[in-house]
Amino acid sequence: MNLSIFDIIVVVAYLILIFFSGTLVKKYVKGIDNFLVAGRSMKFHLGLLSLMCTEIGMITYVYYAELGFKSGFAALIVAFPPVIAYIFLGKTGFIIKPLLEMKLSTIPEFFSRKFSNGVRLYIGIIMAIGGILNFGVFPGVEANFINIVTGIPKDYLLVTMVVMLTVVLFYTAVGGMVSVIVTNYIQYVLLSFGMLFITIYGVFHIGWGNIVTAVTKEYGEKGMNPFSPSIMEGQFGFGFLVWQILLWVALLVGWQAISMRLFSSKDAKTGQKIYTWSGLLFLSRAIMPILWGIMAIAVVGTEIDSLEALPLLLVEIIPSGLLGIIFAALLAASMSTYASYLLSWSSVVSQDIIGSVVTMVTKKELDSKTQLLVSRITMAGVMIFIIWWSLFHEMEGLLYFYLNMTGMLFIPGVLICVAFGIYWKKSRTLGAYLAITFGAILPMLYLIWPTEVQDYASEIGWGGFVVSVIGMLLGSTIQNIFQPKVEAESV
Amino acid sequence: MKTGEYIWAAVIIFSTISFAYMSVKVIYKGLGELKEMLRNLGK
Repeated sequence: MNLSIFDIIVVVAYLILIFFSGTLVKKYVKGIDNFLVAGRSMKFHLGLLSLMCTEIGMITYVYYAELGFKSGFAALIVAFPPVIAYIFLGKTGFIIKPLLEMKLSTIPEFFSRKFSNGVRLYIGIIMAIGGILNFGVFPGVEANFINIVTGIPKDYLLVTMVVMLTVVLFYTAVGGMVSVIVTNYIQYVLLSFGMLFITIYGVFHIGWGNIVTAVTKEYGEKGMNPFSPSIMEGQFGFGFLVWQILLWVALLVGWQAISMRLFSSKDAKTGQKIYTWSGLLFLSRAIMPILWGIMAIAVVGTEIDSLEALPLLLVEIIPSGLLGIIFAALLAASMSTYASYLLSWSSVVSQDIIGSVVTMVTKKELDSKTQLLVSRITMAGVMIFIIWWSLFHEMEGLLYFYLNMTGMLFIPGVLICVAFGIYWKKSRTLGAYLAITFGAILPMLYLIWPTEVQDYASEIGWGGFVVSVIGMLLGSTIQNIFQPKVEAESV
Repeated sequence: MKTGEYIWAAVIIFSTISFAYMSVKVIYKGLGELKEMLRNLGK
């Protein structure tokens, strides 16, 4: 065991605190609106804090650190596209303002209002597949991380996953978004301390000069310059940046865990303000973990599994006695993400798939109590699936690209449908179906043959958006020719 | 190579300081908002 008795006491105290504060708020959950979007009562600072907690998980640290470990300082360029996307959407209100004014609970709801229940069901299914495949690698990667940091033998990988997820499942299923926000507060205190401590302590402990020397020795010019050999040919060159900016704009509109935070905000103005300021925090969310990966080059060398670079670095540099607090901070990051993702992906399944089917068949909506029950059962189902997927799925290529591509299964379709649905009066149901379908084809190629097509990740990325636009224009034009009246549309 | 090193050092320092500042701010002001949210939900 790498943890001392003091470390273990700190971790257990944290778990007890989270468990009780998460479950005690059950009394505030009076209906599905409180459960999913906390009664739309979240103000600016709390919204910002909760959004950060959702999007900073142990998995975030691992994939960003892997990028830094594999590409050196050049990987830091990856931190800028989200900043651009957040500030652009927050300042202009492009897409998000109309969405906030519609008072949605989930993004697919937009599809039934603008297009049809059939489109909502279709995007709900693709979203659930992409989202859950994305979420499905979290437990395996994180349990491995926990095992290395704590020194728990790898034979206990499954037990580690189950214990951690059960605690999260329990308080999320009981208190929904209210529990998530309350526990997020405690988790943010810990995770922000942990991130700052690792960054500052790491740089002083290892020495800036040693870090730079290790990167230059290992990667040369490429490790410093993201555009080496040229802006068009570089690993993080023009094509990559275009793809990442499009991806982030789309994620901020259609990534369920992020948009649910947006929908929980008090009003459109608060939602926009949360996005503008998130840009600044998202810069640090990427810069710090990438730097940890870069530090690992200097401390543990490059002859190891890249996903293990960060946990090995932490074991090497964090003094015993402080490891418990840092570990609790990492657990906090992990659990806050699990809680939000469980809530958001299960809400897509319960609201947009099961709910849509029930509405289509019975012509009636489920009552609030049944919706709550369905949401809670779905959560348990999602949890069982991701544990199973984590045990059997083998990762090929960089984790960052796998996560991007699973999201890309629905993200181009969502962005194009929402943007055209809001701003183009001639957008039609057939256009939405084709935009979603076309947008999913290229990322699917990456997920099926990752090794063969990994050199074309950027082209697949921005290409997904281009073909999705073609699908929307083509489908809407055809439908406008053969079925000109919008009123004539049916499910 | 040296220019790259300075640029990245500046980016890292800026992001660390801004993260520390924003974190203190959201933790301090977020507590009041959390209490208010729970009060409103409990009505």
